[in-house]
Amino acid sequence: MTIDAAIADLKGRTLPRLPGDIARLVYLAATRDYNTGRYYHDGLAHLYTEEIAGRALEECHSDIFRRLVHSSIEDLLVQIETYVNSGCGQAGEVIDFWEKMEPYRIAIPLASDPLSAQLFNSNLKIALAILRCRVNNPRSSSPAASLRP
Amino acid sequence: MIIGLLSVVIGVLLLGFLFHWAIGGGSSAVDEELSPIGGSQALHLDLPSAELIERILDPRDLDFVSKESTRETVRLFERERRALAISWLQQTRRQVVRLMRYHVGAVRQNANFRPAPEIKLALHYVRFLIAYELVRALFYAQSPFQVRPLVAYVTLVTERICGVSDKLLGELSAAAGAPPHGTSGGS
Repeated sequence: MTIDAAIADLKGRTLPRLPGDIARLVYLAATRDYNTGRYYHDGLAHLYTEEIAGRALEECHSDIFRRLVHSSIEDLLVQIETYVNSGCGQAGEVIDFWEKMEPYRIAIPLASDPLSAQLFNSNLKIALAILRCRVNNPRSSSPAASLRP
Repeated sequence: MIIGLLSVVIGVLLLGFLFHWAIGGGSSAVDEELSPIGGSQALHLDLPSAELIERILDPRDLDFVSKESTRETVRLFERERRALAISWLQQTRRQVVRLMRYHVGAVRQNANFRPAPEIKLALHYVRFLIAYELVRALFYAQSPFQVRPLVAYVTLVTERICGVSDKLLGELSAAAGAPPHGTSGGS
């Protein structure tokens, strides 16, 4: 049982079920222990080992993060819209909370370089500002006009 | 005319500083740590990638934000991008300076020193320092998106410095019978 098999398992079964890369990032960050920074996943650890499962989660977390860092703000906005529309809450409520608490900061992998983390936070901040603008102005022709305020 | 003259003066001053540094003006502590003949480990540079600065200064983002948001958000966006670009530039400079200190420390103790390629490397370094100061000043003076061609030049010169230094240190190590010392990192 190698780490590659565990990564393939995650990428082939668990992650595609989640709606978009923001949901995947949040999910993977949530498998990380807040105190130790170690990743845990019972199902995966049962199939492989705890160590392999942890490394596979960490690897996938870094992959998704890299993909989001290198996305344009337009693409990132689509990802956030997909996440908000997936039923995690009312759009206005989610945007309010994300703007105030910036929970996306703790979704960043530990191994990422500080500049990439800074770029990700900045892009999220800008994308949320645009989304707020769209939610407050639902007549906008943009796709986000369908967001529930 | 005045700008040209000023550039020449700055270039000469920098060359003088570099020469002084190369012949013994630098820190001796650095020499002890970095001499390849002394068997020190290869230097692992943590250069921020060229891909990252291209992403930071991607004009498509500026177009999109300008089209889709308020003036306030556009201003926030430009402010954030400027801060990111400056961080990238400063990190690049720190790593290049680290590399040059390593290089000078290594070359100073090597009998197989060849002046011509070392001068070529010194010129690349002077180019880098001038471009760095210019880009940094322009980042503060105007929109960072307008400075993209110069940022690309900084990236190019950084790659050349890494390439030339790697080659020279490899040759020196081979001549001294030691394994080659790779110096370049993440770029």
